[in-house]
Amino acid sequence: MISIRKGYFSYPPLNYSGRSLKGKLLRRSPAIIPPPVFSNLDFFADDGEIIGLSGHNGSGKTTLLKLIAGILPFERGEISLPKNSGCLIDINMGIDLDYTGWEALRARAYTFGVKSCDIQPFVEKAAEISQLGNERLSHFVKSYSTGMQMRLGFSMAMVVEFDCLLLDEWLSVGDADYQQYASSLLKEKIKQTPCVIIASHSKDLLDDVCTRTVDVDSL
Amino acid sequence: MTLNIKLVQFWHLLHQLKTYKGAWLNLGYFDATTRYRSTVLGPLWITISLSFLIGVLSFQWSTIFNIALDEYLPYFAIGLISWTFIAGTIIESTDAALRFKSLSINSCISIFVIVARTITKSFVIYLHNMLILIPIFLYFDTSITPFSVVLWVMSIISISILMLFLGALLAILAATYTDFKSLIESIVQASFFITPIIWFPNQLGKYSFAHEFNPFYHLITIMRAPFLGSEHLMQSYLYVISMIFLCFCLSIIFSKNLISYKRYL
Repeated sequence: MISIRKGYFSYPPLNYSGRSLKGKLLRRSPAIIPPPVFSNLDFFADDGEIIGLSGHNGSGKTTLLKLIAGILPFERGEISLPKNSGCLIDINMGIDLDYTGWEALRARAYTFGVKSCDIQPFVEKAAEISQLGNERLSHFVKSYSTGMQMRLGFSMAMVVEFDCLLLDEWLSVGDADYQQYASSLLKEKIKQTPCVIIASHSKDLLDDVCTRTVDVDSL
Repeated sequence: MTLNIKLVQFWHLLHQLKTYKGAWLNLGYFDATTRYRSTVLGPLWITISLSFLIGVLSFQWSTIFNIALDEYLPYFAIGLISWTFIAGTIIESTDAALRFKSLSINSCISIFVIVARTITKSFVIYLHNMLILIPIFLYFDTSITPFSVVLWVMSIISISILMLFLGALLAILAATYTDFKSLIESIVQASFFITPIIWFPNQLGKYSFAHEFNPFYHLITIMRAPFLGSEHLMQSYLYVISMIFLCFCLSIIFSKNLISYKRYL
């Protein structure tokens, strides 16, 4: 499912002169090149695995998720990644606050590449999961509370099927009742998905949910 | 990196235009309309402000240049509407990666899909602005033949393809270098005055050859020609096709950067 050998990835210069056209042309102050996030990464995952990623802040958990999802490219290495992976790092990605709830659902379906004929079922299913109701979904997203926005984002993430699900922290949304419902849905989603990778600081959660844990600091 | 790998990467990015057809078409339309939907007239507000500008400036400049209004008004109106489309697309594409940062860094959606979204938005606004031409054409009895419509469609397709490749290159440069966006905005702004929109190409006299080196002149010419005709249409198409080919080749050469720009966001 996932095979990464000798993977290399680094971020570009972090200081302003390294990002400025003037700085580049005049070469007044040297760019600060950060050390590579991964210089010799070996990472493998098979079908049926639920892998937990642990590590300190800045160790590269989220970057690794993005690399596996294919959002960020490896610079070197022998890489084989799943074709259809869903990276749920920011569940509210791309939602315009000027959209109504219904429009936000449609917009998300488009950004997931859902085919035109499947849009309506996608929207209806997500609306049902969000439990926001027809009236509230007709309002602008900017009128929603943070919790309601999270519910909207969560519901959309739960509808799409992926070969590999990548989670940055356990999704915990809404009030106490909804949290319980969301948690059961997420567990169900994890069961149905062939391969799941969860990045979290919670050791208890990783021990409870995952089949094995990887310390990103040691990679 | 071999050419083969570059071509595969490039094709993969371009193919997303088909996979995410709904995203760039519908979200581009949303972008054009949502901003104005709480207003009575919607995006027509842009049309109204532009028609006011065209009306006032046509009267003023036709007097200054001593040109008959019936010759100047259609020329200036089509030029300005086309310019709004071209300049708007370039500036919005340059800013696209940064404006849709959340989408770029949290999904695999390629820069071509994001740029296509901005082209759709600009095109929807352009179509609204084209309404200004209806009373002008009726009043000045400008004839629109089926051939004009074919030429107009051709010009829109050519410019959209050019903007797709050019916009993607500009977007990744703007994402990489923070001051690039300001540079492009300044170039586009200055180009308005050196491109024959307010004035006629022959007014440059013996320096008319300078138009040959202005890419915006050729873009405006192919958009104006369907309605007003042009002696240099074939020549301008040749320039535009060459620009498309150049940007297409640059997109292949920099195909790796079209993916790795996300590291900068």
